[in-house]
Amino acid sequence: MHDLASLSAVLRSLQQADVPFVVMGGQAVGAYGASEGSRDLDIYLAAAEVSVPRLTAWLDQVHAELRYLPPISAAVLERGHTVHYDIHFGTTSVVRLDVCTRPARIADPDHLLSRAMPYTLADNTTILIMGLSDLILTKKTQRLKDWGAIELLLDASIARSSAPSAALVTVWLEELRAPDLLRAVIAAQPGLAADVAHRRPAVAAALAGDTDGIRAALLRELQDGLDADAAYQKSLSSELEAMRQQARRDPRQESSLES
Amino acid sequence: MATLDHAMRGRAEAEEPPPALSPAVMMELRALVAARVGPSWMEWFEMTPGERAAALAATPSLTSELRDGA
Repeated sequence: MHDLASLSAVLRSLQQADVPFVVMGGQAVGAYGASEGSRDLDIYLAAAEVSVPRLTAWLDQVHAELRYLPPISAAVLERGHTVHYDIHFGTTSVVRLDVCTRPARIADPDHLLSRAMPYTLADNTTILIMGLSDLILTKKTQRLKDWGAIELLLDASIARSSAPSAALVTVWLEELRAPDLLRAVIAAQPGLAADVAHRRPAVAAALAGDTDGIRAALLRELQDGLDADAAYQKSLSSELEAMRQQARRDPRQESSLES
Repeated sequence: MATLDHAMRGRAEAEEPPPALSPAVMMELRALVAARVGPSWMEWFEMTPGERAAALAATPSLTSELRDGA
């Protein structure tokens, strides 16, 4: 498994190319102290109009290999697609770089940079890690493994916080999925919980002392999340299939995939 | 000088809000985290399909409510 320290040369090189990015995905989960065992490096790319040409030049410079369609372009990224490249670093290591500019379910990606967390690597390179709330949103996918990662993130957040702010406790109230933890936070902060209850039935049920209601509401959240991501990915898959068909008709794109 | 120190400390305290949860509560939360054995969704797979359907039926989908209301 790669960790961020062993990827620091790649990250530093990206910074030196003036590519504004935020680390998300499994590596970001790891930075919060919740190991997920990811082998990929997922980044959010800020200011696509300016940064895509810079990143494209960098990908050429490091001889990155396109893994799957589509190849990088601002238009493709801004439609919500992710682009995938293999980056060779060190003597034998390869890391999959996944790049997006419209992470799923984040309503205001242009403000994502301001919510990111600075993180200093062992070699003193400081990078940005996606903010906790944003990272949790991106993990609400069709894969149950990702819902498990949300719980690991929240466990790590609780384990590492000695004096949590009201903002952080609100995130816990909005996202905790373990009923006992959720009940304990609600009991300690009923005022904040009352605010969150307006938008989260599981919290409303807990405030009402409805144990079965908490479990049912949490199950409903999970089912809705799985369904919503399935619908979202289906629309992207249709576009990807159209791109693949276009590539089959265009030998230049096909050869770029073979290289 | 002591007055100035006091004033500075007072200002710092005013600017930094107190933690939203007490050390005792944080200790309780950390104990709950340490006691957890797996993701909470595992319990949904211990339910029969009928039990899961009943639990889902008890809580209407927020997304379908939004869709129906649109």
